[in-house]
Amino acid sequence: MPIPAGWASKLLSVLRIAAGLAFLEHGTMKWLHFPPPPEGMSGPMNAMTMASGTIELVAGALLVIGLFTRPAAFIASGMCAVGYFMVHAPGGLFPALNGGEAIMLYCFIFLYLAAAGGGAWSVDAQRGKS
Amino acid sequence: MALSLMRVAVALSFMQHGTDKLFGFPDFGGSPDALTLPLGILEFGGGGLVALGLFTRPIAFILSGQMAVAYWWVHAPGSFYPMANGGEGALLYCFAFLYLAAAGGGPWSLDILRGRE
Repeated sequence: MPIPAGWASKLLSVLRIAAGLAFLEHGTMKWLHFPPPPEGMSGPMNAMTMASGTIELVAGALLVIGLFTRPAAFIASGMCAVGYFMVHAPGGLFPALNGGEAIMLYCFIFLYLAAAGGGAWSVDAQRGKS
Repeated sequence: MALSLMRVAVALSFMQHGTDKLFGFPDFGGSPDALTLPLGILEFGGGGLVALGLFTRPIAFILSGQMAVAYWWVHAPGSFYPMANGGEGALLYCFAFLYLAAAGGGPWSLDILRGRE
């Protein structure tokens, strides 16, 4: 096998950090305008973007460091499911065409993290919680 | 079980890109070039194998590499930030497949049925 099975726990952490950072980026864009939002997304926030932006900011940061990984990932996964069906699903059946491909991937990746935890390289592992 | 669920969801979504390139369904509207056929075969065939959980680890390793190349070649020149360069999907596929290359397909996979981990 090209990748040893023994790396699984560490690569789970790598997946968690990569997905968490990209997810956090949505929260910082909404709340802090960093990175600068594209045209059409720079308007004032409403209740939904405040709620989703807060989850992206807080859960995203927790996922990056791997603290409270399982509950944070569960909440983030649920938020992505709601976001997919509320925002993207009306735009068509196929995720690659309705703009919901990334949020769909987040949803299932975080659902797995909610079950599996943060892996070897996480604050949770350091403090003795899986 | 959650691992198999993630594997199937990621692979099915990945296959869309292959079916677009090979069969024009769903039609993304791009125009074909020299890489369309080999990439379509990788995405449809490789994505299909990972969706079934057959030869999950070597195939996922190849697809992870494909997505790494796609990210750096196609998306990274656009912007440093995945949200701005359109490479968020490629990035997530890359790391999800890299993990599957180590962890395998989980309990619901043909690899398990044929007695391989």
